[in-house]
Amino acid sequence: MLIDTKELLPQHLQKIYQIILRGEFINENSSKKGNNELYDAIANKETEVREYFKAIGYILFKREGYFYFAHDDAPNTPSALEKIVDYIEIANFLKMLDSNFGVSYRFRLDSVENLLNNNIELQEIVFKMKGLNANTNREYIQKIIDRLRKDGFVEETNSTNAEYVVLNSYDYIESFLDEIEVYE
Amino acid sequence: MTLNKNIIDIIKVQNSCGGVIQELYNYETRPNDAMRESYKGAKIDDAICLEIIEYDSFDDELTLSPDTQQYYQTRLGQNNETTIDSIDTKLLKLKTELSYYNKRVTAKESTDKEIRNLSKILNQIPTLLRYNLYAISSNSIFAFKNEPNFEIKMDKLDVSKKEIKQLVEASISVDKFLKENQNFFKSMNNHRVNSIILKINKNTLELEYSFRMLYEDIKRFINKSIKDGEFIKKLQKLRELKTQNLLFSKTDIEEKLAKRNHIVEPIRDKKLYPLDKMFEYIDTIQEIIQKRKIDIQDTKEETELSYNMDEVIKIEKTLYNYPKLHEQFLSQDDDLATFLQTNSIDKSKLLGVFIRLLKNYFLKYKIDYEDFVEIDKRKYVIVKGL
Repeated sequence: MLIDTKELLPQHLQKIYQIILRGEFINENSSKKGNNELYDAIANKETEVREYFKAIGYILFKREGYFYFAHDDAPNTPSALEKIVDYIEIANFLKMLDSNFGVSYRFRLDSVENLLNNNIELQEIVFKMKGLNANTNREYIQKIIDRLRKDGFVEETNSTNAEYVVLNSYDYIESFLDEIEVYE
Repeated sequence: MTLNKNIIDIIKVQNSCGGVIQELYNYETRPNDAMRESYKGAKIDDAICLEIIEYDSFDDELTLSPDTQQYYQTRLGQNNETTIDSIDTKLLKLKTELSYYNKRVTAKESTDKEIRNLSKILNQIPTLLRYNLYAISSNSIFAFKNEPNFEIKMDKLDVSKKEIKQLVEASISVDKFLKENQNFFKSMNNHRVNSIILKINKNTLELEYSFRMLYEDIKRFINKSIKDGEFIKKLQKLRELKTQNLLFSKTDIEEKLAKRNHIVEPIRDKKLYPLDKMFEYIDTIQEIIQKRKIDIQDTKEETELSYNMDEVIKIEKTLYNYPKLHEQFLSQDDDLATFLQTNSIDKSKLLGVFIRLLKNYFLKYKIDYEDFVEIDKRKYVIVKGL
């Protein structure tokens, strides 16, 4: 298939390259400047973008409200496994904290901290979570949110009030965990 | 008006009510008139326009409008007059009033009072149906979206499901009652009663669609919540298996992981810092030296004076007894380069001996990367014994 690169705007291609280098998702519900605009641009030229990047070894994947790129022949890396295993604990903790936690969930740091303050069972769970060196409930919550932000699953919407939104890309983790079959 | 529109309206009203009630409270507790005046802007004016609150210009009082107040009381279950059960009560009252009406007609007495009572009760029915519909709708949406505890959420949704069924039954009872008694109402030949009955019929038709939609919505909320519940159970099971180190043997996680197309990993530049430890690269350096030796052998011209590198090393080893040199170095105070220079080491071999000692005994040496000693225009780091 011939790809008409004129159809693809150079600034979008540049952004896509940067996103690939940083290993990020492209979310429709991101309010970060340019991210949702890029989502629309890719959605409009999905076939062209897919073919263009396929030629250089990247496959474009479209999921519910987000895009991401994968290597066409990348083997499983230990970090991918480690990440998923980490998220079993994180996703479980967040669902137990608030069963509504999921894509598009909006929350404030204060309110989530209150939920944790009132739940002794969850406090015990979070204390045992690996790699969280924290002293207070707020610090634990902050560290988990920081991890979600770093991995591209959560975005801050208001820095003054510490308000966040769960991005569509969180489905990447939830859908995978949901697919795992437990042998009885 | 369709239910979808209703729900959006309800959420809008609720959202504005929440803010308005807070503003109302703030307004009433303003410390002075000037501040109260400045606070009159914003949402309060909108709320007055929407008849959510009422403003009395005479005494400057703000209050919730009766409609808003009744809606909230219905929603919060604080008013027994507006519950779903109260619809059945109203129907019973209507039956009683109709029987009184019949008796008055038979006795050829005035029926004005009974007709007034009938009108009043009939007039309350559409509002009751509507308020309860709004209340169930708001409660179910609130439970679905905001209730953090899964079990409480399911309980609340079940209650909403039962309530909407009960409300539908109440609405059917109203229809049935009106049909059964339509001859009586016709015989009254009262304009007000007729118009109220027409209003009820119109409302019932509109509400029938809303009831069905809300019932479907609640069913959807419940199904989604059940799915969420199953997911929570699975996460708990996975966590349990992880804790017991059984995650890989008791699940297909590895297989699923292998099939998945993972997002590209971020590309990071690995920086070589000047403080990188030399000994971490010793194996590599040795390999390079080894290869270089072969290169040298391969490219050198074949002459009678050709020499064997292994022989050279052997000679060097004999000439420079490294363990002994090392021991001597440790027993004096000079740095390594100065020590070697003063120890009659051949100038051309100084660097080689320096490196070899450093390589062999770096664990017993302290290296000062900041300071150097210059010998024959070559800088050597200051190395001292530990």
